[in-house]
Amino acid sequence: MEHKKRVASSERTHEVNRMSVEDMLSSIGEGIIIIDDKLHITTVNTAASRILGKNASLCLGERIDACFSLVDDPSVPGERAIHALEPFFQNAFSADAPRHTSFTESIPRAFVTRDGGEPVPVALSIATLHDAEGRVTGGIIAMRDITAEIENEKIKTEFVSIASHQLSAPLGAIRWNIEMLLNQDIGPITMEQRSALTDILESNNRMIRLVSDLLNVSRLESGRIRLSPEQTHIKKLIEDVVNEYKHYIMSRGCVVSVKMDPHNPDPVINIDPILIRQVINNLIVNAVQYASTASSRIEIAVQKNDVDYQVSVWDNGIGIPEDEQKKIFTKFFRADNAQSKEAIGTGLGLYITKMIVELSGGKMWFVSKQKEGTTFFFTIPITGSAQHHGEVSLT
Amino acid sequence: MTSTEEKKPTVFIIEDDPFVLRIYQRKLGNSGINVQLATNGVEGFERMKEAPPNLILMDLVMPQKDGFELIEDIKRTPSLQHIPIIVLSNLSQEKDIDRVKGMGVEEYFVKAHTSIHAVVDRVNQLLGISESHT
Repeated sequence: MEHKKRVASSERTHEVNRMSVEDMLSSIGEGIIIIDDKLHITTVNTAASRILGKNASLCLGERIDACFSLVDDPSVPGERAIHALEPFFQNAFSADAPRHTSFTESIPRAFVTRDGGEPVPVALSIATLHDAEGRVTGGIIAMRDITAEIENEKIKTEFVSIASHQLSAPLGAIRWNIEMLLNQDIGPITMEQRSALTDILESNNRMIRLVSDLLNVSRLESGRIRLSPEQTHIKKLIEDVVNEYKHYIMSRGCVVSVKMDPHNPDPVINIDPILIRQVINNLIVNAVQYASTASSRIEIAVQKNDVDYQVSVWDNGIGIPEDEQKKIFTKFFRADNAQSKEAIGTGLGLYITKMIVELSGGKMWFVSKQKEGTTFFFTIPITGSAQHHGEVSLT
Repeated sequence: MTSTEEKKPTVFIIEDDPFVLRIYQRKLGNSGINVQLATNGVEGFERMKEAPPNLILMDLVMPQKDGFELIEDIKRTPSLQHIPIIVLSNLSQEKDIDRVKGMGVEEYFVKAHTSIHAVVDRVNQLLGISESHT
């Protein structure tokens, strides 16, 4: 009797707990799907059935792939459904999966495709469920509808793009008018007027670079940049940039040399030549800009290591004060001792440079000592950069 | 019409920004070129069909008929399809530039990134005028 009562009470408690778990599941905003170790669906909450576009009762007992179709990009036909979920469960549910080990995975963006409906963008996280002995008994998939986030991201990107485009038009017209004035197309000008117009032209060109760099930052930050690697002679790429800036380098009294690894004098690396050119371009212009006044030297070296190529740009310029070195890759940062220099940069160059290097699979860092100079380093894996599909390029 | 007028090469400019239009007019008009102007693609196309120019200089983002459509129309029109085209636009994306170049234009300049002298030099080069006016 005593025993029976205890059992009944325990069942009731269990029932109450079960009720509250189901209530909880149905009232939370995230979609939750629970499956057993045979991949059969045991629970679908209200939010999940809304995302799947299916009544929850239709899914219960079904295998997960019969009721739930997930793709990376709905515009690519024939893409495999469930993608990352499948290997995940195969690993987690295999007989030799270690006990007491939680398997988790998150997918920041995928699309749930639905029969006769628009695909729903979701962010997912998946985790295994375990019994008291630590055996995997099933899995829980939590998903969040990210339609609004994607829409906001799109609005932000479009805004930056339209704003930049609208800013470029008048800046371009100003540039051409000043160029015509300087060329005396509209009438003779005095030396003083020429000096003022030259300053206006330089400021205007700086603004043009700033708009272009801001747009590039927005593209890099949104991860929409396309990276198309191709076999590239890095030596020639460096020499082309040096050649392009020949006059600027000479005007600042700098001497630039390129030093290749004697064991590897002309390496061919699988990189996006346009993006890496931008990196080398920024580093050389930076080195020239912060050169000390007399006998400035800049040396660009390429060295092959075990797992990567390392490119360094050394200068004997003004160097970066120690207490400011941490901020050097920050947007719009300019070191104290660089403030007095003619500021031709936008304050975005090194930030953009580091982002490109990281997108290319490499690392970027520097060593610097004030009044002695700075060396910037970046690496590219020996295997090259991985292709990155994106709809935009840098400008 | 005098004989010198006849010899003057004609450049047809289609551009909707009046400030930029005035610059082209001043810079090219001063260098012995007969400059024709239109502020949209529809008007530009109709007038070019009546009197084909020696060179077309055009924007891409324009009202009524944008530059992409205009280039398609030009390339479909026998009397216009061989005329060299220079596109000057603020669109600086590789995909736009590749698309336009693939349509058979001679040159693509991103306005703010190009000096007006470079534009005039290219115009002169395509017109076969050796003398530089910059």
